[in-house]
Amino acid sequence: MFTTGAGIALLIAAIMGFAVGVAVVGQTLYASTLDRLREYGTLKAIGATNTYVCMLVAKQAMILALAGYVAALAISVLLVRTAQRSGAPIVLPWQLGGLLFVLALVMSLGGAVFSIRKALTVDPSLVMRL
Amino acid sequence: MTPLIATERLTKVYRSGSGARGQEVRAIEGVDLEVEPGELVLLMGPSGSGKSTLLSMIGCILRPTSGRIRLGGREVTGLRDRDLARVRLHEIGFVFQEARLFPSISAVENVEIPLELQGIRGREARRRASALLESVGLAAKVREYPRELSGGENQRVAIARAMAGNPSILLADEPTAALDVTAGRAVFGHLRRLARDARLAVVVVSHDHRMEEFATRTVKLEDGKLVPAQVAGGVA
Repeated sequence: MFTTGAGIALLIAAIMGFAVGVAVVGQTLYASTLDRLREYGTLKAIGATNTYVCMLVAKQAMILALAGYVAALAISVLLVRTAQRSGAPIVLPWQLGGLLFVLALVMSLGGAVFSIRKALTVDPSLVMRL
Repeated sequence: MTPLIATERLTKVYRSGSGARGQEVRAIEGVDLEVEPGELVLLMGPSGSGKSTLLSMIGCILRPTSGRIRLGGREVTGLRDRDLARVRLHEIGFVFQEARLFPSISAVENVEIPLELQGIRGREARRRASALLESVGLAAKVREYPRELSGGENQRVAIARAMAGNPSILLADEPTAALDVTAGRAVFGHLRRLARDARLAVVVVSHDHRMEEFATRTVKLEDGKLVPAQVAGGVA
């Protein structure tokens, strides 16, 4: 893979894609969290613990990861089939698919860190008119 | 009878500004209040008198600067955040001014949230939540979303949600502020029945003197201090 510059270029592109993914997921989740601060405040006011709130945001991140992964996998399979027909086959072993799913999860949970921190700092008294 | 709510010399001081020039605002000062099971206490007073601050401290969502709070005979003043959340979940039901329902889920799913927090899920949670909605006259609206319900119906969903955790204390912050008189009376009627039939200690912050007839006692706050209480007529 690294005997030519193409492999390294591909690896760098993949790392950059991962970083961009973390940023995009992070932005999306953070905006959604800001929109729902009062809802998190209400949840805490009625007795939700920080652990519950943390799991809630993490769940959203995992749903994003799953949705993104399914879409990406569908596009990849389409590309692989198209490439096969054009005579330049691409190899997509199932192990790679599994690894990418784990990476998508890591990417989404990494992107959720700031959202989780924000949701955890919400004061339940936010829902009262003080 | 042991009061379900007992506050002792409860004080809350806010500091506005920073450093040495920061000004102290005494939102609540030395409040002693006891509420027994079956009572509906109406907390009244002008804007800024500290009603919501007092309610928030009783509800364990705001820590007092000094003084003590006992709920069901148990001291809660010094508890950690996690333990306070547990007290809120198991001992206290909240009804907020704007209902504060979750807009993206149905009425019955809103009522299921405290049950889920208590570890009750699935059919049992749905059965209990539906029964609670039926008890507030919303049996036909369990699957409706908050945006599809009127203000009064949303507050009744909020009452059902507040009752889902099977609390002994119910706290309501201006629950009828955004409602017309008829809807407001219906909400107060439900709160009064809960106090009387379920033997809850109910504390309601309100500006509306017309609702005094539902209270067993009216307590007045002025400048963060309690004005001597009067016994109200009460509606059976």
